[in-house]
Order: sequence, then structure tokens, then C-alpha cells
Amino acid sequence: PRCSTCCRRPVVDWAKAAGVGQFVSSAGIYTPSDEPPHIEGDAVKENAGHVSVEKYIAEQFGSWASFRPQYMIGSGNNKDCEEWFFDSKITQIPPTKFSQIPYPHTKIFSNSIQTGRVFKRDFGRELRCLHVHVDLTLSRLIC
Amino acid sequence: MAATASLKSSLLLPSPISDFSSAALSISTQARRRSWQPRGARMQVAAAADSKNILVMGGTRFIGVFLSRLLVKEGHQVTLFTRGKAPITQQLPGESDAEYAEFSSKVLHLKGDRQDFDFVKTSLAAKGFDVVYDINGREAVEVAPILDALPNLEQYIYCSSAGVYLKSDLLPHFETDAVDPKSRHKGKLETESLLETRDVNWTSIRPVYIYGPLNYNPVEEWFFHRLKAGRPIPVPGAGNQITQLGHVKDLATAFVLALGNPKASKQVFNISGAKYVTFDGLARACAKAGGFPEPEIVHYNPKDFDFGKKKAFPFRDQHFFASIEKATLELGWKPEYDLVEGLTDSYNLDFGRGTFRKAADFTTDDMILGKKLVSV
Repeated sequence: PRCSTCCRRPVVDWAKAAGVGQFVSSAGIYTPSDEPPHIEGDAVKENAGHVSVEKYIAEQFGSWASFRPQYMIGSGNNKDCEEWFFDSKITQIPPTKFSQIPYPHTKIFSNSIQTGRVFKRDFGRELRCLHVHVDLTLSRLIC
Repeated sequence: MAATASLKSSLLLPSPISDFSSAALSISTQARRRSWQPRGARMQVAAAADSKNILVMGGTRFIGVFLSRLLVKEGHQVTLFTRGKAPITQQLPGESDAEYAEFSSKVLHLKGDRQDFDFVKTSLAAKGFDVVYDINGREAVEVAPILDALPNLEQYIYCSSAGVYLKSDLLPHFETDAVDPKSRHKGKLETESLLETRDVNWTSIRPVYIYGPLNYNPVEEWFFHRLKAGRPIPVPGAGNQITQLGHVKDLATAFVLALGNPKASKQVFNISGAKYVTFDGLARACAKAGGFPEPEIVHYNPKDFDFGKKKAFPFRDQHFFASIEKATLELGWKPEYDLVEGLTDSYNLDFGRGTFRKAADFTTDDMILGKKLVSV
């Protein structure tokens, strides 16, 4: 809902007027698959909000780039990722009892750390640039 | 001079459009037909410029079978070292009579036991090879006499294993990852160490799980047996464990691309498929490949059973996959087969023709399914 085309259209239109062509989407739009990892050509969920935003962007720009980050980590994170593990109850568990850390039915594998590093390295320059010019709007671009 | 003339005339012969073509390919399961063949340009250049006298250890089974055909086709002189118990060459499923005749007339044979180190040393020294492909070496002691016999060896290309990596929380494995000196593949590590110590120009290929026609490990075959019998597929755990399979023909191509390649000098390369797959996903992919209906998958906890010495599932119950990025960047290699295509190739050229290496054994399945029935 927060990522529908309707609420993003004004931002896209503004960005076009300003000549900005980089956007942050999400790896969450990929259709679940038996064969990881997802690559950029993989099928996406048609009902995902980011998908409609990407389509609208593609219609509006002759040249554009869309980043689809997976789980992001790092200081200032607005989502519980590493924070969940850093929570005081978890940190009180001694290493010998790490198996007591509660997990879902099975420990589902995630590539989040690598993705975060790659993303930060590749996007850092553009991110700073965007931030300088459109502080408030940027935070809305990153859904 | 005669040899050169013979070599050139063979190059002028019309080459088959594809090697090991899947004659029985099912159009409904494969949208695009792909010919698997060596790159024409490279073949011409390599053969004309630098034909090698090559020895293949383990050249009569699975990997070696496909590798030796590629090497002969590229114009190299290939000698297979075997104990002489099985036929030296045999026609591959899907291989034309002409292709087979061409191969079998050109390949040479050296009969012996590689465990007989004195014989290995004297016979190899007498022949003098430029390059050795060691596909079946397991221990370093088997390699030393080969190196002793061939002081002018240009390259030693070794089939190691991704099983040497130390188990890790961070995947995929990269060639730089820590290895486990106590793994059951430690003979591979010791061989790699020996090659480094002897200052040989070595290349080590580390495949993950290998599949494809004539596979002697029951990887895809394990699933095909159950699918054909219409049985449920028992999968340990939740079935979302991630593993990786590489097609034997893609592996053979990687071995050839390493030959005489400066970027392969004293380098290790992970070789496998371009994508990973979950256990449940693999069961479904095998069903698609063989044209079977989607299978019923039954998950179970292995700890609830005592299977004795029998393996209830062909894969270790863990995530296990490796990055092939280095091989793609340095060797210019890329897998031609995606998983369902590769499994279809395996099915059409092997199991689908009624051939397999191990007969079906559903003993552990019955234990698992029996307990499930009681539970219900």
C-alpha cells in the first residue's frame, strides 16, 4: 500500500523534471522460486506496488536505473534486522547456548549481509547526491 | 610431417553440428533447443596452433568420457590410462556412429594400475606427455610418480571437489574460503598441496554436485527412480535446504578452457550450475525433466530414524553451494545448461532409456512413509 503507483506518481514526475533517474525498489517483488538467487530477469509479482512503480518509471524515462535491495543492515536502520539480534535479551544469552536463540521452524538462509555490502558500495555515491538535494523526498523513495 | 598432414586433414572433415545431441529431446519440456559444442573459433585456433599430447587418468567414466571427446575433437592426442577391465571406449547415447568411429580411432590407450607406482613412473616416462588431466585421483601419493615421470610437464589439471571447504555460515563458498583439513576429501587437499610444493603448473577444478547422463552417483537418478515408480519423495527437514548441481558437459567444457590458459596457472576454480536449488525444488525439477506429474513430497526428521548404513537421501542435510564467479571471469566459461534443461538431457540420454547405475532401493522410503502413516 505504501508503495503504490498512485502515491509515487508525483515523486516520479518530479524526479523526471529534475533529471534524476535512479530509484530504489525492492528484492521483495520477486516471485518465490525453487532456484535462488534471484537475478534481475526473474519473474516478479504483478500485484506488488514496486512493480507498478517500476513500470511507470520505465514509461516516463528513456534512461533509468532501479535498485532492488534485499535485507539492508547498517547504522540508522529503520527496520529490525540486526537490531533483533542485538536486543538485550538475546545478548544476555552466553555463546554456549546460542542454540536457544528462537528461530522459525528451520533456519532460513539469507544473503542479506553480502547484499548490504554490495548495495552500499555501489549506491553510496548516488545516495549522497540525492540526499543533499532532496532530503525529505528521498526518505519516501526508500520504502 | 605425416602426423601434421593427418591432423590437418582431420580438421577439414565436416564436424557434426553438435556433440552428444539429445536425440530424444522432448519439445514440450524444453522451449529452446541448444547445441552443446566447443567454440568453433577456439577449436580451430587451439588445434592448429597448439596440439597437445595429453594423458587422461580416469578417462573412461562420466566426466572423463565427455572430456576426452572434447579434447580429441580439438585435435589433441589423447591417451587414456585405464586398468583395461572395462572397454576403453564405448558409444555414448545420442552419439552418432560416425562421431564414435572418429573418436575411437584416434584415442590411445595405456594399460596399467595407477596404484602400481613403479609401473606408472616407467611407462609415463617412456611416453612423455605434455599435459595430464587427473579426473580420478584421490590421494597425493598417486600423483607423485606421475610428476616424477614427467619433469617437462606443461600443466597438471586436477579434479578436486567443493567438498574440501570448511562448513561455513556464510555462503556461497569462494575459492579463497577456508578448507577443512579433516574432511573426507582431504586427499584432494593434500594433492593440491603437493602440486603447489612441487612447483608444477597446476589447475584445480572443484565441482559441487555433478549430474548428467552416465552419472555414477545417484543424484538425479535417485529422484527418477521414485518418480517412475509413482512414489512420494521423502525429503529431510523442511525441504528448503539450498544445494547446487552442475552438468557434466559444462564441467568438461571448463576443464578444456583451462588447458594452456595462463589465467588457469596455479589457480582453483569452483564449477557448478549458475543457480542454486532447494531440495523440494530439485524434486520438482526432476519431475519436469522426465515428464512426470508434480510429486508428492513428504518431509521427515532424520533423527526419528535409524537407517543404518543406508543413505536415505542423496544430499547432505545442509546448505551447500559455491560461487562460480571466478571461473566465469577468468576462464570465460559459463554453464550452458540450466537445471531443468540439464536434467532433461540426463533423463533423455540415460534413465529415460532404461539405463541406470544403481537399482531402485526403497527400503528407507518405506521406513519413512510407514512411520508417517502410523502418525496420521
